[in-house]
Amino acid sequence: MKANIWKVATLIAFVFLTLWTLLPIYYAFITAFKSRIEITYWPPTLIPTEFTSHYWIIVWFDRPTVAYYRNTIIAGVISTLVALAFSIPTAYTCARFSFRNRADVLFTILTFRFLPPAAVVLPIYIFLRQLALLDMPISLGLLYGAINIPIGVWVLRSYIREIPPELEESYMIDGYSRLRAFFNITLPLIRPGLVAVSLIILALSWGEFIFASILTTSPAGKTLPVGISEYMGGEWGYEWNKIMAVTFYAIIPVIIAFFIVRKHLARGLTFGIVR
Amino acid sequence: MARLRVEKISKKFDRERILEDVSFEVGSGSFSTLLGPPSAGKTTLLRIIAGVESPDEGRIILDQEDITNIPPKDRNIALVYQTFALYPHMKVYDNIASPLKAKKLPSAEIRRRVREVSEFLNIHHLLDRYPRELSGGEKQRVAIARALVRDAKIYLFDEPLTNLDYKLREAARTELKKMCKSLKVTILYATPDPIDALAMSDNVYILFRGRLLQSGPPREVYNLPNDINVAKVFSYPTINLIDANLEIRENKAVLITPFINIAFSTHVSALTEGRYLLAIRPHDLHVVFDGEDVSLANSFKARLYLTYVIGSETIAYADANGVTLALHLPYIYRITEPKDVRIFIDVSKILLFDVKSLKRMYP
Amino acid sequence: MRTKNLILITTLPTLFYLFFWLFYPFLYNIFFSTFYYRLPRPELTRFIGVGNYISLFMDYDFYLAARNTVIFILVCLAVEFALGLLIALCLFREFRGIGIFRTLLIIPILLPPISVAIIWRLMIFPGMSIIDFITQTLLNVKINWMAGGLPSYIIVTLIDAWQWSPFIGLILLAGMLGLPPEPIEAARIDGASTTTVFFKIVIPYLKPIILIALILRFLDLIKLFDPIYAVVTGGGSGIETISVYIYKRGFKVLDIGYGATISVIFWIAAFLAANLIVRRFKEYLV
Repeated sequence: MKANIWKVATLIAFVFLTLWTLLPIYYAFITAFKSRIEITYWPPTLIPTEFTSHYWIIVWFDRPTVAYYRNTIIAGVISTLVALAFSIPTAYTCARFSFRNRADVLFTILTFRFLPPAAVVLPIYIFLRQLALLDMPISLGLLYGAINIPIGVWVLRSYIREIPPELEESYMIDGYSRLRAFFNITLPLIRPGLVAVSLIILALSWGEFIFASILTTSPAGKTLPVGISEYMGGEWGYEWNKIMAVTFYAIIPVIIAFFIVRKHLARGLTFGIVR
Repeated sequence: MARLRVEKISKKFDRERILEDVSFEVGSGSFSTLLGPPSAGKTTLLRIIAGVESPDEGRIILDQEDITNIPPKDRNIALVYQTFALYPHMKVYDNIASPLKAKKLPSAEIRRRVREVSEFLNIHHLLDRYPRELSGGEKQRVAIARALVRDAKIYLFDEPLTNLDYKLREAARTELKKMCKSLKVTILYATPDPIDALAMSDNVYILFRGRLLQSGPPREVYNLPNDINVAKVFSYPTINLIDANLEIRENKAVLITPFINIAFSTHVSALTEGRYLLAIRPHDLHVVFDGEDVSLANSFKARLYLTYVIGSETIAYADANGVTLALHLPYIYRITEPKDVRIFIDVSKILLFDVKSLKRMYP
Repeated sequence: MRTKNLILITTLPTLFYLFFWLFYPFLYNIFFSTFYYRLPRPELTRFIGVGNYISLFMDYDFYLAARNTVIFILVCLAVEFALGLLIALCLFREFRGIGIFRTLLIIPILLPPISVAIIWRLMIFPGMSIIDFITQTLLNVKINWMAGGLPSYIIVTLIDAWQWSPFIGLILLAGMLGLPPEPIEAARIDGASTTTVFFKIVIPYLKPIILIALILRFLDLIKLFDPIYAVVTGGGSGIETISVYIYKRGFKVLDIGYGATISVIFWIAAFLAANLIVRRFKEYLV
């Protein structure tokens, strides 16, 4: 009897959670298929009476969406490369060697992960403005790189620690330098971790908003999140179909990356603390 | 073939002394065993010799050359890890060929030597496999192959038999011995198992809690341990230690223990009266069977209460008047319930240690 | 010796880079905060020392923003933990197809927060959205969710919970999956009921995991920005957090001097909080 109550409760919870998670996404998705009039229908329709795929196409031309997309990709890629360039050596040294200040280094790096962007955005704005580096995806990418170093260091360190140091040592005894051992032994063995971290950093850079909105001013530099938020206020004020279409174009790559990475997600999001 | 000299090596980790002032010399072409219990420092010492760890003090000298500060890749030393340390993402062939590729030898030469070694070790049919597909014994042989394929000056083995299951160990030991004898290279072999030392080596070095306690030919160290710890290390299973009192009666020395009084021949008069630790190896205690002609003077009654059989031998535990004794019987012997027996003690194998200094007093 | 050089060369550049982008601006902020400096009227710039700080001390809106931040942190943590626990419990089962559910329910986490906020904005937009419809027709109540006040508090909490409860759920689930079955089986054999097992065995075992989840979420909630920006239009909404306040005062109005002041206080508070927490709970981390 009691078991049945649990079963029913679980079922209800399941249904509730699934609907709760999928409904907003679904609703947003089909909104992009609605015609201009249908958006304003009252009551709002859950299934469009006519499917228009028109808006999915037009968003690319109606506004600088292409530029936004391009900028977001550039910033994301640069961010990932920069973050990895710094994280990998640091993660390696912190994983393999125990030195006196290691804990301090790691905890300082971790602390920076939690720094509110708003607390540093103004001076960065002034600084980039003086150097005429505002409104450039490259500058954003460099900044994002710094923001994502903590994740890179902590997660990669966790992956590197799983590789027994004897493998690298044996390779060095075979006749190679530590650097070669790192490239030929360590890197290949942490490859899944590298891919996971890269995609996570990409996804995080992809959705970053506050820095992007302040540090970019024109389609030359604006990223997708900023562009989309502007559609809301500006010309597209009520054109939800277009807004949703663009939003989905922003979401889809992240979802794809998510599927690739999902086995590593727990580790990636918790900095390697939880496997 | 090269001569290795270890000079005053010390290493600390976090206040804990892992190695302290260890010095010894391994002769060219000899097979030497580093014998010690777990955590004695054997692995650390081997790693220091190989170069992947650096000592706090001391030097390593290989063939007159001080290699203490030379990186491992330039030392020309091979090390076989206890965990085998095979590269999981490379095939067996590439694992074995790794040191040769480091030297940038021509691929035809590499192929030839890998073939040669893998045939010698009987793994040539595994060259195309990955380490995860191999059994424990096969992995070990690949690890050894990777070491042997090179022309190293000295070969270090870190407990190669420990990770094999028991049945495999016996066979592997014999094979290893045969192989090493045929190779004529300098070998330093670390193990906690005294049988390895006795069976295979020219020299043994006893390492205990980071210190080198004694060194010499295995038989010598085995028969005449300087120190009680050496006796303990160099014994399987643990050596029996009994409190004994030495008295001189009528010009004869008598050892009084809780379960037997042992008379010594007169030439032990060099010993003073007093308390001693009597050590006798389980191997040197025998169960007396009916009909055996045994001097009653050197046997005593005891109650056998536990036996367990390992391979074709038995470890037995007996209680003699409150003292627990371990016996190592070279045959299979089982009991279903505690049994009273007579135990014969091989007096010629008795060792006496000073109670305070733990040093050997007799013989 | 060489090891020491290696360690330096691999950690110092990283630290430098981090400090350059995330600490040096803090110093800049301190500098700016001592000036009256508005970007559109640079000629009016003058040194006023602690003047900005005194204004901040008497700034009602700042306290409001601080209060809002704290409220959001507490409420969101509570809601997200409850939902996260529910998610973890549901996903803990093993049956064919559970993988799909696990993947599905975790999706919100990686979505760009601003996109999530926009999607919800769609759902609450007055006059043409689902939630509006539900509240108006079924509950006969007209609520403008975007106008500030309690409705907006609720919506922002909802948005954050929608996106981040799966985060807590994921961590809890990972922890649960690592539970050794023996203590639970032993307790069951001894006759313990499911609730007892849950509270006396599972929860204590999961304590470090729960702590990690809450800490991570707590530190992220300090910088809450995106949902508020996307949902509540215009100023004077009354639900701003500190991040939003800095955005408004510092960037919208371009009052750099004052914005820097708020940023300094914010930076110090956030840094201290993160540092203290990380050190206090470091056993759980390494």
